[in-house]
Amino acid sequence: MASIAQPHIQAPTLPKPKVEATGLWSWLTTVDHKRIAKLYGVTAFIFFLIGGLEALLLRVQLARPQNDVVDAQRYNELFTMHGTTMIFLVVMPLSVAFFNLVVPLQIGARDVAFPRLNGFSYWTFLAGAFILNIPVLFALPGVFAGMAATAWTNLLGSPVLNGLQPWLDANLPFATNVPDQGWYGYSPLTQQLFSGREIDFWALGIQVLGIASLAGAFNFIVTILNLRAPGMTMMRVPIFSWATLITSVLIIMAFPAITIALFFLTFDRLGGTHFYSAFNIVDGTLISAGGDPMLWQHLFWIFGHPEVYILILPAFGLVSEIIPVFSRKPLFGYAVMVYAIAAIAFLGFGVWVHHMFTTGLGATPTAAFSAATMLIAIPTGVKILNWTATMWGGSLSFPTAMLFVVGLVSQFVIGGLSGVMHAIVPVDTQHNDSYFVVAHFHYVLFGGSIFALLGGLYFYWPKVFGKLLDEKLGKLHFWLTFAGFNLTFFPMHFLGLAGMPRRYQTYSFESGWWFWNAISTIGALLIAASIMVFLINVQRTFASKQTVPANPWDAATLEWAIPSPPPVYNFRVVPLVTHRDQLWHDKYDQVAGGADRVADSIIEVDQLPENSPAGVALTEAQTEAGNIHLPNPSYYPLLCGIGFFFLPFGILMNNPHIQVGMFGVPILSALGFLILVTAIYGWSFEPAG
Amino acid sequence: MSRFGPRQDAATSTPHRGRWPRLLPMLTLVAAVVLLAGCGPEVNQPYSTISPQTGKTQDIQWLYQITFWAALIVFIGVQLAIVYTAIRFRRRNANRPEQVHGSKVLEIAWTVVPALILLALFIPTVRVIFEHADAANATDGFNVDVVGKQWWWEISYPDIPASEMNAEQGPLITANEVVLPLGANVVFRLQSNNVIHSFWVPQLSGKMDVMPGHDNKLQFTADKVGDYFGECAEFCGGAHAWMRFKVKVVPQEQFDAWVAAWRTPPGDANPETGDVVEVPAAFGACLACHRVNGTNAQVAGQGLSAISGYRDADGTIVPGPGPNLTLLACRDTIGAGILENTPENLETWLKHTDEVKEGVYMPNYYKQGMTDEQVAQLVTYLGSLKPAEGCPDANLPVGSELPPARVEGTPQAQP
Amino acid sequence: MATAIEVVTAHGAGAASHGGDDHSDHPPPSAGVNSRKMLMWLFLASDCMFFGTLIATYMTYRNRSIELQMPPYPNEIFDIPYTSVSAFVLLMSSLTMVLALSAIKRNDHRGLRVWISATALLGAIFVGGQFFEFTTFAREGLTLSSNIFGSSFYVLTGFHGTHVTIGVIWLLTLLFVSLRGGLSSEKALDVELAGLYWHFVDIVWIVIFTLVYLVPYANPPEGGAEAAPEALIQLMTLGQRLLATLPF
Repeated sequence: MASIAQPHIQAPTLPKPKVEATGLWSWLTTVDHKRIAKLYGVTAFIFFLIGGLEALLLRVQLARPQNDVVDAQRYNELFTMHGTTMIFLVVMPLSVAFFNLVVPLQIGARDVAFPRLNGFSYWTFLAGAFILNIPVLFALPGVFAGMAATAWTNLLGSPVLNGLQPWLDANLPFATNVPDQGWYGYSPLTQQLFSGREIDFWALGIQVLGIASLAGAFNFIVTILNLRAPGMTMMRVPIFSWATLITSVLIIMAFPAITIALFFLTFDRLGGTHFYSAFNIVDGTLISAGGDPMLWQHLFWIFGHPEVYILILPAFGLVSEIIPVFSRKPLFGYAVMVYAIAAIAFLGFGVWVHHMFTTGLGATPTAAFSAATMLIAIPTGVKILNWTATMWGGSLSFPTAMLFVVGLVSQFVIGGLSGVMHAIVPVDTQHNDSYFVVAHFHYVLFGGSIFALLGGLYFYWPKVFGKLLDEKLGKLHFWLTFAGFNLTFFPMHFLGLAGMPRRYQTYSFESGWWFWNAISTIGALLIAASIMVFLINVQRTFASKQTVPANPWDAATLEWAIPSPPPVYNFRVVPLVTHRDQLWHDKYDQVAGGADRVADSIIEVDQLPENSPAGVALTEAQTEAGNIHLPNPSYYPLLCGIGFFFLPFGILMNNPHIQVGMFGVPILSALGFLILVTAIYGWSFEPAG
Repeated sequence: MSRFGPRQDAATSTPHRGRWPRLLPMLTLVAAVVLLAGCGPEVNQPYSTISPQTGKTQDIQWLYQITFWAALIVFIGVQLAIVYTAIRFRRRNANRPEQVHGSKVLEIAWTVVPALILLALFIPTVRVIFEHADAANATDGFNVDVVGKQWWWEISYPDIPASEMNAEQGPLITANEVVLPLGANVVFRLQSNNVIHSFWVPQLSGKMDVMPGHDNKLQFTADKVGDYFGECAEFCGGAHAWMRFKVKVVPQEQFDAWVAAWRTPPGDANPETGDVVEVPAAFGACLACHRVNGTNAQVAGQGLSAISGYRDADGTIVPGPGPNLTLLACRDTIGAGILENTPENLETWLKHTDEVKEGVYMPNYYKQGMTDEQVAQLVTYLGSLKPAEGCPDANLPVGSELPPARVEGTPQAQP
Repeated sequence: MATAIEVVTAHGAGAASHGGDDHSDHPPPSAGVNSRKMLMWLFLASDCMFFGTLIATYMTYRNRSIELQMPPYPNEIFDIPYTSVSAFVLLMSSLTMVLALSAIKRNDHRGLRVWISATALLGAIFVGGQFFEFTTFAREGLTLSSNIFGSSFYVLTGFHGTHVTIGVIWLLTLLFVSLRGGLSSEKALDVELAGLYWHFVDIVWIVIFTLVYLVPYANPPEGGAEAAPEALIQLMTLGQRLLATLPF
């Protein structure tokens, strides 16, 4: 594409976006943060539906004792994929969608610091998501064949199709098992002795997702630190951007642990090492291997616990944005809220052992980690109370967005309190790996993250699409979600107390667990219904003809100063920030005339790193209006994503059916590597725009 | 001129107003859930974590209760605050409320108060952690070794030899049922040579992971006679849900009788001379994996050196040794706590092994050509694996329904 | 090519701040650090965690194969003087890297090419040395899967070797660009970023070399292998040994 490499042509006045407005190619090569946000959002939502369907099947299987809707193998696959999908392919990318959409707008920037790197993050994420889900695709023919065979036999009484599934299993060029080891992938269950090829897809898929997350995190840290509008000091940065910044720091510190852990795992599985296994079998004899399954657990949770905060802090950021708007009051204790996020993130690195209280680590470590875990409750509690205090004395309205975030404040308390119970080590020995824990983390991740993200969707929908979601349907959506959520997950506390362990495919009537399981399944159906309502709402909204003003909610941050949806260049002139709640300040606090305000602003510009003259020059130049510099679209990020897809994929395809080796190197991997190197070099020498 | 491009006057365009009665459904729902919790059906819950039957679980229960009440108070307080705020400060007019930015006093208060509550919870927590850890290091305890297999439990008594006359036979080994003398200060040594399991008898103790390469300890004192139900609490692969076991706390005399019965050789077997009884021909296929004391079924590996099953380099499953079947007829259940030990169930197990327990490593020989007569022979033989004078716990109802933990003279477990 | 007006308004676009274009006349980034440089520092921070995880694993397992009596043992297999020389080579490459950066800042293109070539060469010697070391070890029976020491040693040092290799390729690319006349003194940042990476990789090697090679190991249970502190003595006599190899 010659047009890609063209140098920037200076437009005389208002920008004529070089970015093609429509067409598949424009989406494949986009570097516009708003479009990438949409890509992330849509992808994450599709996976939300897939992960939700998986959860629904789990619940249906557990609806009654000794049910046989899903067999043990498929059940294990379903909960593994449900967990992995919801964490890596739903909550994280949906949060990233909001990072992409909101952060540059909120800090008054025209894009992120590295727009092509942003595209790279998305395409690499997609590659990882595909690798992770390929076994699902492969398994589906077998599943459908099995269903067809059963139906055929039941309807026509002829078992002629019974051989179909075994035939497919034997003749499909790929393994038809889906990752089935649990999202936490505890070794030795993931070792070759106890599992199949599907684990490699899981490990390498997450590996690729990690690259995407890291790239995105680097980008957002630089963006927030460096692209703030003039006058936006760190303590004027909107709280969602603060949450993004700290989440990104968590990602760059936590993801290396899982990357290396998966590295070891891949070596264990494909390279003959024994990092995670204490035993090995040689010629049918069990021998000591020298590794230790505890290493995986430590590395996994050193990543895994910060990951919990990676999932929840963006949600907290959204809550902190939305509650003030609908209370018409500034966030109560802004500085403390920032410190609380930082404290949660910092402490989040020192509590991983609370996932391992029953592994026999000894009294002293468990007591120390118990204390650290309790400490985290303090900043979290401060946040809950500060949100309530923000509402106190406000002028509250409750559109759907507000309902969802107030729902979070209320429901997260339950998850937080059960979290404190788990910090009490002896109590945790009864709760750990039981449904009590399942209840706990769904209150945190569904009642927390998902509630806030849904609230965020309602809140930012007009900004993205220029249309408001329907409020009647929205409220129905909220109340159905709220009811379904509590009906599904509250009973799990009782199940946990009744001793039901996690990851049980079925249970006997005598265990006494049937009642709450049945209730829980009804709740899950309600949640499914609520998602249907949301989809109808989305469809109706797209079909409706409406326009939305720039600031439909009377919000205070910069993203609401520009039209909905925003133009490709975001800000016609780069805004000058004088206050934390800039738009409210401009609208309500103007005392004197414009001249005074300009003078004010210039004084504020003094706080820029490079002193006032630069600041003054900047404002003057801006008022001249004019030429806006936009980054060029690029297909190299997409190419990198393709490379990252084939690189691990080739390693996995050493099935005798399709293996095409060349000097011992799987040819698909070589191809992926070649594409990747080409893309990196092309990118390096491509003018940025 | 606007510095931020087009902007609308937003005060009038706020599209939606909330009404406080909308919060009522939330309140109703919370109330309904709490009510339901109280009104759930009375069912026996043999795995209940809140019907402690040992001093250890009573400690845990006490900690759980103080935490629960503290949490409940906080929960009610916060929910009331949210609901009250939502109702009282609902939007009544277009006036802008007072713009409050924070309050140092309040924020310090709600940092310090939770910290104090947590400190109050932490002090007893630490005490209990160290008490339980010290107890698990007891050297004079009643030792039981547990090896977690896929997906069953091998139980051995390192201090109780399999034979009084021939020490070389190693310790007494059984499976899926831990028989304990009343009052014993039991110290379990938990081991695995395959994946991670977790040993959990909720009424007797919190769980402890069975970690390959580590000898984890779990201790409790068997205070009350009774049958207690245990399960694997760490996901361990295909049949994780069917890896149950039982702990039977029995009076000392009965325990001794059980040990004696285990050691009593069947028929003409004589441990001193090494004479053994031949197993019936139908059992021939089972020899490779199962042992029966006093018979020629002695080749199967056991303990930490025997792995219950694995995949070889091609991904083919290689089954390994299964449970020791000595005194099988005296056990309450078969298949690792999943079926009552009746002749019908034994037949079901032998004919539909992989359907009853999906993923199990034990091959289904019936599918591979074993005849109905052979299965019947096996059922008869397995049913005969008990002393001639009957099982030592004949005074207890054997093989009756699974729940609850009930024995004459002991209090009924509370659901 | 950037005009004044573009510079001002491009503030928010940020795209100009990477990809080979260094707009040093940009308005100041709000944190006062060039965006690309900040990106590199963040990457290195993350890389610290990568190496930290690997090193922590190595330290956890470093005596494990000795305790389990699974030879070969580390202190039997390491050749401290040999590795010391290659470590010295890598350290020297940091010096040449500094000289390369200072050359381009002075607009000294010939100096830049000389010193970049020298850095890449020294890096390549190190990688070559590592390759030779690995093959020697493999001949002596230490492979990736022979014991837990082999596994953790090869993965850690291999990960570092990959870093050096990527660094060499990066330097050669810069050299290529310079030879094509595309590396002016305004592009000093391109060299500086490569330099940051290069120094980081060097520093990591100092840590790895110390922890893996120099810190003594537990005594093998049979007493068959050399006593551990011998490694340090070896290092101390390294100078004498080197002198002994000289032809005069």
